[in-house]
Amino acid sequence: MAFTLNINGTAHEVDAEPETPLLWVLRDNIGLTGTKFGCGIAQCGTCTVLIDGQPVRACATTAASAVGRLITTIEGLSDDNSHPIQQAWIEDTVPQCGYCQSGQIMSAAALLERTPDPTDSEIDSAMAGNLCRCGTYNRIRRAIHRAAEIAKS
Amino acid sequence: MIDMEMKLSRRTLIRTMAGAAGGMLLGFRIPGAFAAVVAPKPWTTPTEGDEINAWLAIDSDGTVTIRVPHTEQGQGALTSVSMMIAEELDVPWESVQAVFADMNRHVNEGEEYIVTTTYGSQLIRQQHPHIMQAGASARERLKAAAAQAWGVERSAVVAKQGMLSAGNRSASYADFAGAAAEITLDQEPAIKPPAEWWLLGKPTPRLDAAVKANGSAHFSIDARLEGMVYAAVKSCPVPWGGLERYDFSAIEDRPGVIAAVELKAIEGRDHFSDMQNGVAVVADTWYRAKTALDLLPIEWEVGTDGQVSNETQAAEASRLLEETGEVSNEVGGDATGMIAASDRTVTAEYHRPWETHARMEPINATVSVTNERVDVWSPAQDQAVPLKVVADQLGRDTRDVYVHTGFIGGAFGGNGGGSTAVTRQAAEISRQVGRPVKVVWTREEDVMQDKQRPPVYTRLAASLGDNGLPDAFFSRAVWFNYGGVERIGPATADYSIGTMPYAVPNRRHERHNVAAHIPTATHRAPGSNQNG
Repeated sequence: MAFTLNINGTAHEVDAEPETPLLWVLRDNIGLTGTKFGCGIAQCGTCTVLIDGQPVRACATTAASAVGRLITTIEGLSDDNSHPIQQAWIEDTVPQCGYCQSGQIMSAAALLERTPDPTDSEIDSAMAGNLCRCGTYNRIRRAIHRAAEIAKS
Repeated sequence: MIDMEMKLSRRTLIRTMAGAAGGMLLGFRIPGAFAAVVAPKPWTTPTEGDEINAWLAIDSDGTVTIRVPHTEQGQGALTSVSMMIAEELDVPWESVQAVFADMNRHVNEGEEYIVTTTYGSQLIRQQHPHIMQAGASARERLKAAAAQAWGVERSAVVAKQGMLSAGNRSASYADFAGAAAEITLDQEPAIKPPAEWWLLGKPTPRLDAAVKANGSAHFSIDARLEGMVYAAVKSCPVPWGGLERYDFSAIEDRPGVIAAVELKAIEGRDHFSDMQNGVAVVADTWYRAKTALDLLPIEWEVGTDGQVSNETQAAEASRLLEETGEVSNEVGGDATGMIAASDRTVTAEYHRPWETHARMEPINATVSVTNERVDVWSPAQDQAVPLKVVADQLGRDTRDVYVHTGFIGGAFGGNGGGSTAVTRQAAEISRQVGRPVKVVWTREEDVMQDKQRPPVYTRLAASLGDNGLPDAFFSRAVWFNYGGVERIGPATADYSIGTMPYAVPNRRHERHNVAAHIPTATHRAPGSNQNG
């Protein structure tokens, strides 16, 4: 079945079963591999993307449910690493292995959008669903505070 | 011809280089710049610049390409190896770009990189001498080349920040890179003592931060090749068990399904021959392959190992904890006698279960088999391993096999965790279907079929002296390990505790090495963290 998805401001015609998770449509059908596969059951947050600005787990979201909505992936956050979250992430060299970081960044971007100056507990709460086995959590929290400053300046 | 779809912004493509083989090389460049990830094609003849040794080449514009033979799994190898070479070579950090070294060259041309893996957090501690030596040697050969041209002694030439000078003469490194490659030194230089460092020891941003902030960092699982198909696999739930039958007709009409491929365990299995009997479903997307495999009727022959459970294993461990084991270390006098006679003793028993590596990047591999060459993407902690494994699986010359090193989404295991089996699977499936194949294990398969960390059961006892400190100490460890004694030595079961540094005057350490029925692997500081 063919349907159209609006991803990062571009319409993509996709031929896939409507129940196919958005993750696999992004990665395999369209080739946007910045969004990662981690667990497949919405437990690790690695596949986090934004739908209408809200963070969702792409592995547990059907592609069909995203039709007519605005999908943003890590590739669509900015053209040039200029999003405040990306700037802060690079400045503080948050990533280690980096595999979970697309999901971390998308969750953090959504947080900053709705809470421009989050407290530690708001950060912890918003980021609780994103696992990092390298243990970059302290830097993530610090970088979100820094991103809030960058966004204000 | 293989082409990767590289989803890179223009800014990401800081630099491309055409190799002699027509390959394109993308490198990392330093601060502020966004770098690309892996060479889409391996470079057999590396760069358009002049290679001084296997570790580095210098372009006419002064760009220094440093070839990092280690994997980057978050530990910072890409940056730290480059820093060590830039330190000795003495070039502006901004002129350095890092690329992953060519494993085909390493394996087939004398293992010039010496060590291509990192394990036990040993990269810098253990390997800095030969890495820094490569930079120092290149620097001295540049000086010698300039000295020859200028008719002066090498000692009169100063090499600093990419420039050579002697008296009124000066030239860039690039001017003498070609000549330096021809120089043989009478004696290799010593590496610098820390007091002379200008770069090492200074906080330096990681080279890979930017690409990991925009999704362009390329992991093995991100490989995309023209004509590539996808495979989902199930291996026998009891390792080394058999595949009795499966019924492909039940799923062959599902959308996108291309084939089912039977996978066969290897006779004479060793640590790198752990592909199990299983079946793969191949489809045009991974999700179609996975959902079809879920519906594929499969019957397994699990054999007697199917009777092994946590309970039977715990019972065996309990029995062995009562039996005298192999004595691995004894210090002082009769520790067990002292403990038995003491009225002040402390005893404890610790159990560590099987543990999976559970890397964030699920176990995966992509292989393209053609008559001319074989290309491999595999998140192995040592990138020379998938090259050898694929050559072995296919019966091909290692010279035909090219490994494309990408970032690795976690490692946690000194011997590459579970990626050897999946790499063999991808090679086998690609050979059988005649197309490039990406195999991705579901997280469930990843947890079940990954090589597990050996479980350890340890009994400890100590007696306390009049001062309250232990005067006698006893340990007995039981561990279940597949091929561990042959591979990493018998000491690992009680490696840490048997050689503990505490000043207990009387000690006795025993161990039981028990053969495990499933593949095992190291998992962070092998030996030490199970019992230390």
